[in-house]
Amino acid sequence: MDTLELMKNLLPGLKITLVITLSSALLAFVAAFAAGLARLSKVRLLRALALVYIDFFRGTSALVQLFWAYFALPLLGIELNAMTVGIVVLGLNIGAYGAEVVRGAVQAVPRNQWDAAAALNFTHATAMRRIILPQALVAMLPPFGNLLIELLKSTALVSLITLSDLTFEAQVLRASTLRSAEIFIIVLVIYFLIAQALNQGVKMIEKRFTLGRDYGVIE
Amino acid sequence: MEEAPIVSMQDVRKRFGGLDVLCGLDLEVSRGQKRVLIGPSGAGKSTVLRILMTLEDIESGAIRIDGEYLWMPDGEGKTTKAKGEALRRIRGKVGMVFQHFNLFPHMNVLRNVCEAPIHVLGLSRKSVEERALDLLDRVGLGDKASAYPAHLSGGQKQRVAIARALVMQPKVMLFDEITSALDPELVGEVLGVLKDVALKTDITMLIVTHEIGFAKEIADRVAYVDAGRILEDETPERLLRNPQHERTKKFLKTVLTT
Amino acid sequence: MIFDWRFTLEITPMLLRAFLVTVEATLVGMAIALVAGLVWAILRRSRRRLLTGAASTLIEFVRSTPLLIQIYFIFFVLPEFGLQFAPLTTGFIALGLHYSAYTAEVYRAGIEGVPKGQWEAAVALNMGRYRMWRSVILPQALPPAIPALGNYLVAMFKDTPMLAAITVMELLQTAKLIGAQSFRYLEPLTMTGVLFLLVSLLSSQFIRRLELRFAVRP
Repeated sequence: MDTLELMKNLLPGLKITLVITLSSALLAFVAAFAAGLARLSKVRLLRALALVYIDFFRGTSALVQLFWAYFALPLLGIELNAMTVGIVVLGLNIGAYGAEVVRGAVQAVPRNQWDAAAALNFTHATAMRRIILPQALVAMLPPFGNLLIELLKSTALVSLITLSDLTFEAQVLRASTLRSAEIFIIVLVIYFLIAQALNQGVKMIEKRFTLGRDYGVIE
Repeated sequence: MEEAPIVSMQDVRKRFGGLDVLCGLDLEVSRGQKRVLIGPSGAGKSTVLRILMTLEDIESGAIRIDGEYLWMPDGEGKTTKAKGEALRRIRGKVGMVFQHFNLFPHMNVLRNVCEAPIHVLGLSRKSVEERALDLLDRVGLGDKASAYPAHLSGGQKQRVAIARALVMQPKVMLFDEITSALDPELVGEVLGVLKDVALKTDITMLIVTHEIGFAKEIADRVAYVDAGRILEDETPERLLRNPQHERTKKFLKTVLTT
Repeated sequence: MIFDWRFTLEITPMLLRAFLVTVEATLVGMAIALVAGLVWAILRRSRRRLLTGAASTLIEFVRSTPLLIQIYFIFFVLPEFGLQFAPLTTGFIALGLHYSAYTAEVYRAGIEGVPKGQWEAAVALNMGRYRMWRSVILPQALPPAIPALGNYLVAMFKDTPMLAAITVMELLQTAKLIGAQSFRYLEPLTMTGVLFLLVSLLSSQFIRRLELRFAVRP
């Protein structure tokens, strides 16, 4: 088997890795905004629920969460396939970190922007949507980019709950060919390249958001 | 009978972290009046405006705007703020221009002006944009509609902020030291716009400023605020030429000589 | 099937013993990360372009590839070159090197926060490179970095379960084995989660205090 053939054998695993990364990124994005804004809500119950979610998912290890959802949850009568477990757990896990990013970015918008919005008689919700969030979003993008890389990296964990992602296929191939060095270097480089691509993607979005504006000047 | 004042504050008290900022302040502003507040920094002038804009709460006292209670005392020393619909209705009657402009950095000039009329008043984009462009022309920025705030000078930013407040057609406009953050050579253009608004509209104006000469030109009355109270409240000629209190004299001497 | 408390009590001593391995891996791994990260950070300030370039690329590479595969790499590939380590030692090295890529960035931020005048003053006093780092730069660069380093300590702690993949008998691997033997996964895995949660919550309190103490730059 030559190197090219090794790579061909890894392709199905790569596809699964990409699917999980993108699906859980979507879930993480939604969860981050929901929980991050709930943390800032005036409603106490919402704040408390968001805090429990965030602390729980940040406080327990991602791999422990995956194992628990895959091995223990069925014993409580909830049986999910490995793919669902992978996407949901990783999405909620990164979403909990993202929630803190959302909260921090919203809080970092200067108070005078809220004042100006109130002086123009915006409701709280409209001010949040039209004045505060668009400014906060620019500050969220770089940390979101970092979290996306963390998410990509943590998808390797799903190989330990039997999902045949890139890491899983690498292990299978190693067992059958014993060409460890070659296989793992290829896999590391593939992950590295995906990470670079994701980085570039986030940078492009960042550019689009700040197009024509100049935040270098502090008012 | 005299018409009821559009703004009335009675015995308003306000504390900031153990510090008395307003100590029983009374103020009445009649409809269409151009009232200037002067006084040393820290005297509470800006706080008066921020309270009227509903941005700050008070400890006690009564405040009415255009006949409606913003703060209603219960007769036992407590006072409660208008809520919900009533609060929003009162807010709709008041507009404010801030010392630091507070423009929205993520929107160009035209959107800064149009955002509230479209999304707060629910007006159609087309009619609002037309009016906004008219207003921008009036403040001399017709050609800057698509520029972003970061690319404007301080004077230009402040003129946008004035247009942004005017487009909401408030009955009362509050101006909080709107030239203090500007380089000296830019002060004139902003005061020019302010004067234009004062002379050509019947909007009630409350202006906090250190520009005494300007106050003399446009004010119907000038109030001298010191240590959380209004010490003197007179026509500009009388207050500036013949102040009654020692503190007023001292203040005027320092601002007029510098 | 409901939660069996008696079974939970029965397995708790075993889990706590395994938890000690988890703690050991975290502490040794962090010690390696603290030292290696500092080396990377200082190398990145070197005047030799090639050296700084190589250090930057390596850091970026380690940071953007999965720790799990790095663990596999050390466990399966290095023996082919005559470097064989026990599973737990592999874990120390993998955790330490992976996180050194993060601590390097933390140190870098701290070092860049030292005003230029301090470097110039050190030169003006004719200090050698060692003396400059030792007496002038690091004493100012390190304290502000402490809270961020604390955060990575907690992050590393939560990554230790990955060592289960190379049969280190840490907390998760032990819980999984108990589960496989007794067919009861719920109790050991839940207890594992609870232990992680407790330590994380306590340490985040501690880090908040560090942040106040050292009044960090972000």
